[in-house]
Amino acid sequence: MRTPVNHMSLTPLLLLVRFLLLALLLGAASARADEASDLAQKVYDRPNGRDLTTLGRMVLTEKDRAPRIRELVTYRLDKLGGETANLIRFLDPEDIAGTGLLSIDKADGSTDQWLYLPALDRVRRISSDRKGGRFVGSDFFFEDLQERKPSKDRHRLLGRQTENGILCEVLESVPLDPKDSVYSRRISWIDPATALPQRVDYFEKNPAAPSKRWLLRSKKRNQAYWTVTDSRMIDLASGHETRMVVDAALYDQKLPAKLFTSQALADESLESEYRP
Amino acid sequence: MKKLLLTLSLSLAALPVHAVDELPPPRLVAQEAPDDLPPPRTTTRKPRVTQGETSPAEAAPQAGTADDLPPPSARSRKPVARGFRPTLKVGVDDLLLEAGALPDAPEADTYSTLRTSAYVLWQPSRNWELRAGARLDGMTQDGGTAEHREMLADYGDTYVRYRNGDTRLTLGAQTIIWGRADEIPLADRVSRVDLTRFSLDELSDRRRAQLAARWEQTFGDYKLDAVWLPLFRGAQLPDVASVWSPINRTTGQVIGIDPALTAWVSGARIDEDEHGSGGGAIRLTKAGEPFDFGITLARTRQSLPYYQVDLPTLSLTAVHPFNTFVGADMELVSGGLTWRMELGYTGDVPVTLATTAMDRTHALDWIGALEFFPGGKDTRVNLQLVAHALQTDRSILELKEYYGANGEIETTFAQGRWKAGMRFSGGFNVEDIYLSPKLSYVGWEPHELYIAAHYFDGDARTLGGFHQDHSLITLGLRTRF
Repeated sequence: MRTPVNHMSLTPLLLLVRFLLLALLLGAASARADEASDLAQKVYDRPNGRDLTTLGRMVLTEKDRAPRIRELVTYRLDKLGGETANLIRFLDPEDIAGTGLLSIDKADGSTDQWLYLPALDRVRRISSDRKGGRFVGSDFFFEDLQERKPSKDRHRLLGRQTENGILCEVLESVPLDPKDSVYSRRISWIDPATALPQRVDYFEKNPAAPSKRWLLRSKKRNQAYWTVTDSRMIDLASGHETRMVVDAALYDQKLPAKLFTSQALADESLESEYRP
Repeated sequence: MKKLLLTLSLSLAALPVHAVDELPPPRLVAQEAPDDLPPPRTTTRKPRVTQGETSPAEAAPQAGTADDLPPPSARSRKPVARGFRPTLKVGVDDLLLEAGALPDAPEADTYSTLRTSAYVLWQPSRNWELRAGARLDGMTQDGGTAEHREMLADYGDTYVRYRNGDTRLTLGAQTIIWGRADEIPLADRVSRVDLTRFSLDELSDRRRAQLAARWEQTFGDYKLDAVWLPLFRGAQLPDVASVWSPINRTTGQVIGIDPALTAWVSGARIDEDEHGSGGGAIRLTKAGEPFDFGITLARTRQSLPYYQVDLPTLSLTAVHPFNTFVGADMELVSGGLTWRMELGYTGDVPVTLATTAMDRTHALDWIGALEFFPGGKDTRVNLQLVAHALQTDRSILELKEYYGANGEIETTFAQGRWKAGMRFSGGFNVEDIYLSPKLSYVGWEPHELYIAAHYFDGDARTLGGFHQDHSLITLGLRTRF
């Protein structure tokens, strides 16, 4: 039985220790949060050139069905002031060949998008809020194609785990504004050496089970930049998957800014000579 | 003190180095299937693989490759873009096979279509492009009072194009569709309408190439588009025996005119007057902040005919008088919605007086459109409000005002292998209904197999009313290769 004296003599010490412990815990948690945000920023800032052109294929695979293949060329240009322009042009199959999508990701986080429909020979401005729409019927949502700024999420390091034979940092990212993303959270396995994700699990309604999984299948160093040359996005409920293969990548070929205009979007021949 | 040490040790033990208990379980690594990815299909666009490079399919598997790739060689040649390459492309850009049933039409029980178009595109240099296109349209109409077969051959887009910097010049037969709204854009003043299938097809398939000289000039975010139509061609009309003809000899009606006054057209002679030039038009557009906009000025002849009545000779002559158009349009995204608007003034619009004589007036038109994707998912909704008002106090046979809505809802499902959609239009001040549901299988790329229906109903003088006996159910195959 504690005496009042004992209690009185221990209380200030206990309070002090508890305060110190709390400070230590909060400090450690804060340090971990900083570390997590730094890692997310490192992934975002990974060197990928001033501009990039890729020629690739999107392979939509479903069990017991013939795969559907879309061939596409993509262009990316980092402009001054934190603006990034992206142009995607479909080359095959014929029913979507020539269709183009131009996106301008602005420094304030907003995105302007235009779609070119060859049948009408018309450029249409479209809303970029279609985050959960499937990109040309694939397992990629429109949101998956956008570079998400790390500041839009709260990050947390969950530990280290081996993925693809590499000891990765496991990073959890939860949107600060739940309306800002299709996903309630993402868990990424990051290779600390290259800052390349090896795997990403995407969670939607069920916070315990991921709905989709992205896996890196192979990477390659082009002109000193690491390029994901083969990856898969898997719909874990249906088993349907979309494989993204980059057949060729060209960095820093000084793509002109006029390539990322509605005029170039409507005239395929203006950009075709910049293809790999 | 012992308790304090215990508390401290417990607290330190609880201090997470990582949130270990929240770490997902390791993924079971399945044996990767052998790489059976076929090579790219587009032979003219195969990527160039430089010596020493491997294609991704041949790249080493990922596991354990973080640092085992050699560093980039400073002496290795920097890859370059392919640059310009002369191209020659031949293809069929449209093939439609469609069988249809007309349950209510007195003229026919079935209506079937075969439509195909082919092209050759040659780009010998960076500056020059030549295209030649041809199309064939076949229709059969059986099982009623107006059995009919028709086969039409026509040119498609056939032109010579020159590009240099920000300038593009095109001379030849071209399909030019201006405007922002779907279905009936107001700024669409230089295209040639194809009425052979009325409104069964989408806008791009309801237009045909016509001879034009076109100059497109870009100035930064602005684009100037000037078109001159040296040789006018009226709309491609179906044969007068077709159920889609704007003159119905069976019921004695002319589209847009009160049928009580046109019973005599069953025996009328029908002529076409489309001599001379089609006029010219310019359009200035800008894309970018804060919104996209366009301004259009046109002095052109519209390809849609106005039927001039000559009662003494019981004849109808399709004429295409010049009219003046001034229009403005804009497009912006706000609140996750795309807003489109067109406003137009048209002068010298032909109208029919109660005496059947032709008169001219002017018209004001407005279209407001809204496009959105509910829930940010795979369903697209496009809603358009339309207003048309003829500015005349005189008594005329046409509708003086028309207010209505039209649009389209479409969605995909089963991993994009199926598409379902509905095109619709309806009048507010008059009954005028068009509904067209469609279910398509698009998993057999690039082909589309579909079943569709087209339902028409409405008052006299409306499009839905004119075709109310021509509701149609179709089964079709559409492809290109």
